[in-house]
Amino acid sequence: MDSYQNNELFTPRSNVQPHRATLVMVMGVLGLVICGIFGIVAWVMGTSDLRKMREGSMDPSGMSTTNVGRILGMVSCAIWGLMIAYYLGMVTAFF
Amino acid sequence: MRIRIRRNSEPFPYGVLVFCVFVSLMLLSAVLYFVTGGAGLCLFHKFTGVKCPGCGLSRAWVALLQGRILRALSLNPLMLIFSLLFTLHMVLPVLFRIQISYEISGREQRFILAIGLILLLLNWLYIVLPA
Repeated sequence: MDSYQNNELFTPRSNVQPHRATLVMVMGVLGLVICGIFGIVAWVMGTSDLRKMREGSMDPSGMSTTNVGRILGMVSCAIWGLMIAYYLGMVTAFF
Repeated sequence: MRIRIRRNSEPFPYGVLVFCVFVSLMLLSAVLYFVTGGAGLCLFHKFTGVKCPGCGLSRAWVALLQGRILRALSLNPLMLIFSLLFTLHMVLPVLFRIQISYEISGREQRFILAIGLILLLLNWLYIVLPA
């Protein structure tokens, strides 16, 4: 038991940042439901946090939630882009 | 909370795709705003009939670019500051290779989230309620 606990692979690192999965998720949902700019924020935050988690400098327990928030951000950006394309199409068809 | 400002070796710390999507969406929004005269661009407003917390942001940006700062702030105060900070956050690494990052604990994160949502709600009421 002692050897297991003393193994440096299993001792928690003190310099690991806490994850921001809730924040990313909220931004993703706000982007999808309310305004597209939150979606870009979720995408940016999610991308940087996932990279930090893979590098080991951030707590990886929120990886799945961060990923979901990032994907929601991407979807809201896609909806925003489609909406702009739709309006531009309407305008060009009108002229 | 700790704010770290450091020089970055790469110009796109969040990836080239994110930056391209951000710039193209901003440019397309601007083109659409000037072509249509800023009428009816919000999907939330189109479906619900209620203005969203981001409504008035395009007009606020245009007013800001024209140098009418007070007019810009009166149109959508919270979202204008938020989007301005976010734009600087996206542009600074590309122009000057400077990256700003935040280290926040779980407790601070919940506090910031609660304050942010309250401010967003107040901002929304300010936009929705008639003057």
